[in-house]
Amino acid sequence: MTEAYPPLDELLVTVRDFLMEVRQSLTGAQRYHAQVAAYLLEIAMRELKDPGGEVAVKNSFGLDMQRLRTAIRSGALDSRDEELSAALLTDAIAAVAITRPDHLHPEHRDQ
Amino acid sequence: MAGRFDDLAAAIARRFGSAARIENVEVATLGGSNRTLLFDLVEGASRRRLVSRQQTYLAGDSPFISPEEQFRVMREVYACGLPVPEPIFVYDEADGTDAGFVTAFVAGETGPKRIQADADANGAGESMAAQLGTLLGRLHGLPLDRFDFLASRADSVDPLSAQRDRYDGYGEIRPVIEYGLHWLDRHRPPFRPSGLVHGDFRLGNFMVAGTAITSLLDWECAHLGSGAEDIGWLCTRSWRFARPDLPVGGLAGTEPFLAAYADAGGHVPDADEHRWWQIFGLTRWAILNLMQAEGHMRGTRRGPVYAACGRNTALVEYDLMMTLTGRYA
Repeated sequence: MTEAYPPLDELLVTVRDFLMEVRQSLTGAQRYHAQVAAYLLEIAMRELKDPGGEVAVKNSFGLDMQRLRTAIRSGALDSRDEELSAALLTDAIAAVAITRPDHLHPEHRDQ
Repeated sequence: MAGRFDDLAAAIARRFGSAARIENVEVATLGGSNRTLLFDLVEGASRRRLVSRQQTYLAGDSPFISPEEQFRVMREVYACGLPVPEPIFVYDEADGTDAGFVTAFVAGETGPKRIQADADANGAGESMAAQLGTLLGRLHGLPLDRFDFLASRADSVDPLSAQRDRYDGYGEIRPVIEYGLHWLDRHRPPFRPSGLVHGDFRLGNFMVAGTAITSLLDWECAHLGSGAEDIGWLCTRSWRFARPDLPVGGLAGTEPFLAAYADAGGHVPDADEHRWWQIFGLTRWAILNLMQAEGHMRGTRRGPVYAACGRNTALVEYDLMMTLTGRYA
């Protein structure tokens, strides 16, 4: 199968660049919205490149979301608090690496 | 132009007589959920710049008080001599308009990063933090009987349950928010007698002229509760903007703020209580971002900003875990 050309990531870059260009001629809320739209495309580009995934909690505790919620709420995981908080932080790092890597503390960048 | 501001002109005529005119109308915001107009009220030789704020959309599970209640809070706070824009009138049923109110226009800067840069350039961060401490100390000491009408609000009854109920209503499971709520529930601070809580006391909601805080804005989260809630929110990492190293709104350390707060009669929370309210603040802010995402996904209020808020929940969750694991203060 031949790959689509230009590839998907190039399409996203093209739209992002276009938004940043038209942003210059916009004012007020629209100007801001164009910038935020470009930010959304950058998130999409990072997610496409490396979906990563928030898997630490799932791997450590083997619970689906519903059961995890019940376990946290009921206090069933209180005795494994250190393990749980470490896994939650690991998953949060993975999510921020896609959303806005600059937001991470330097020790968590480019992991 | 004809017709765009007819509703405003009619509301003015009802209250100030048919000789009163509106001039120099400027649309400040016209978003998915609000409409803000600046205008001159001209009566004979007198001219006043006023602001009309209207709510054009209201979710059934909104965490915000109604424009009528906001107006009432501002009227009471203004009567007590604290700096809020002078309340002029509230729209009523006979106006047939969207709900809202009109206040005096107050000039100045509200943009957090610009305020921080100016404070830094003028070495004014500590004095501005002290001004906030004084204002907040006075606010928390206002006579409660003026604000009885807020007593039944969910946030007044139990702020933590209010957050949990909203979060549950969105139907999206977020393990970090679950963890935050569970931690908060297990470490509740001692009960404090209630005062008026602003509820969104942070940069962005202060009008600043030079290095003076001239007005407290945006009362839509007002309720009754512990004053430590406002202090914690002001110091919550997300509200330090460009200066996370300066806990009080990214302006200064806590000492000048808390000293002024105590001088104005405020009860200074101890370190554990202060930390609890900052963790509460991060959890609440994550839930508010989730609310925007939910409105976007449900289609009630769509747009790039709401979608971005949804994804930005992850940033707040990261800050929350960094704080809960002792890496961030």
